[in-house]
Amino acid sequence: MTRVTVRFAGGLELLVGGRKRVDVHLPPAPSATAVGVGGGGAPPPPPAPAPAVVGDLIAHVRAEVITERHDAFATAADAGVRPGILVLINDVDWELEGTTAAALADGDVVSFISTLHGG
Amino acid sequence: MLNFRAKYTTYSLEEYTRYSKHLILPQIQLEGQERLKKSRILCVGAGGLGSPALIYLAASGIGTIGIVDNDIIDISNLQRQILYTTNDIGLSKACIAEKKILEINPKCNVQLFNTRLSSSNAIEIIREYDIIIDGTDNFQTRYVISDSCLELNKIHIYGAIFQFEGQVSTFNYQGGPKYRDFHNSIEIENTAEDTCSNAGVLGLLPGIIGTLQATEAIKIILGYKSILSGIILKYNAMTLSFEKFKIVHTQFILSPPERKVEEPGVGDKSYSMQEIDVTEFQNKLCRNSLKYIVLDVRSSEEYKESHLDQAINLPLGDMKKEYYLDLHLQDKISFIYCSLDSRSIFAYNFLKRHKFNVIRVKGGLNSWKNIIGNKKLYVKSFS
Repeated sequence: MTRVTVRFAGGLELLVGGRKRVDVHLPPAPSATAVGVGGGGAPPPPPAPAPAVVGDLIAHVRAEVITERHDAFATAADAGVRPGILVLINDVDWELEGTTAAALADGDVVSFISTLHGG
Repeated sequence: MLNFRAKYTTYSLEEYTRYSKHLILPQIQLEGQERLKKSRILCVGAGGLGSPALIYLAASGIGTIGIVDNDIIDISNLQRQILYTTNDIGLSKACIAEKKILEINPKCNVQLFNTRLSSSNAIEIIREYDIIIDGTDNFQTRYVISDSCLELNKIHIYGAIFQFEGQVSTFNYQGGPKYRDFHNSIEIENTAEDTCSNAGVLGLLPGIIGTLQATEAIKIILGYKSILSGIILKYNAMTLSFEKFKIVHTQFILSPPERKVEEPGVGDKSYSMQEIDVTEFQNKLCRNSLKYIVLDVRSSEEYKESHLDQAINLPLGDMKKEYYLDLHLQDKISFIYCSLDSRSIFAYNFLKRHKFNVIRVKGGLNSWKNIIGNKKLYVKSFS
């Protein structure tokens, strides 16, 4: 379980009932299937869970945190965020961290900021 | 310096007096005021953002100001569009804006475009200006501004507001990020927010954001270095807080040329680092050095002291922010090295993540010196 703080800004907070910060407990990503060892003996140790990545977080937020207009955040669970939404991992542009493949750790703060267009 | 085309013009006593508080600032003086006078700024949209921007730009002594707007003043505009008054309801925004600007500064050359900026007229209009202040209220026009500024090499000062929040950034400044970098699809449907018309906005918020846009314009004209290029400044009126976010130039990082050899990325479970030892590395260079690019990811100071003959210096610290990676790496295989291993591992992961075809040289320059010696090695002479 990875504990991440998610921030919403630029109007995205309206998709989560006006909340600007939400603490998310991200379930571990599915592990690689263990290769069976024939002939009995001690069972192989369980595979280490893969670290959660930002792509997992986006899918989780879309499914579990967003309360309305889910497509305004991400058009599908595996689609990444909509164009025009900046993603920052601990205040660093996610482009520098691997975008959806960036690994997350406990305590990370991920910000989703919609660029605005009103004038 | 921006369009500082001529020697000083003669200032009247009225002008000396009008701009006296600028002239006594060491950072502006007469030369800075001349720059302002010779500058040409286009304000697209004379609404909430455009109003304060136009007022301050005119008052500051900008020589030529263009205004693009075809709206009519509505009573609902008056809560935030401070150029207009109750008596102006039903009149053209552009025309009233010109009238107010000339009341503030009669010497300002105001050029009106009583039209909506579109892809069919943008190039013709924007071509004549140095800086474009983006005070529009919709994605479509912002795209048009962004694309036109890129084509004409103009500076795009972006400002936008929503409810209690505003954002400011300077795009297309000296090759920096552009607005399109955040909207890398043609999609123009709104994301979460709607316009001020139907989502609401604090009346004085555009006053702050538009003034920040004008401030950016003035700083650029005066030649100050601290510009919001690659940075989005976010302001929250509820908490009276400013935040700055660094952003990267995604044109070059998101879309590297297609590689002939696709290697697994670091996010893949099958990931393994592609490495080579210095002996094999030397053999490859001997066979066909032109086939490869060699990147030295140490600091420029270390590079100056010694480096492999063929190596290009791309310091690790610059790698993330520079946008010339494509130019360096093209479609060739790139070997990367540092002193030993740590920086080349970091660089390898970064470049691999963006699908560049890289191979890491194990042991780096130390290993080369120990095993190969000084062959193909530049060493700075201290004689």
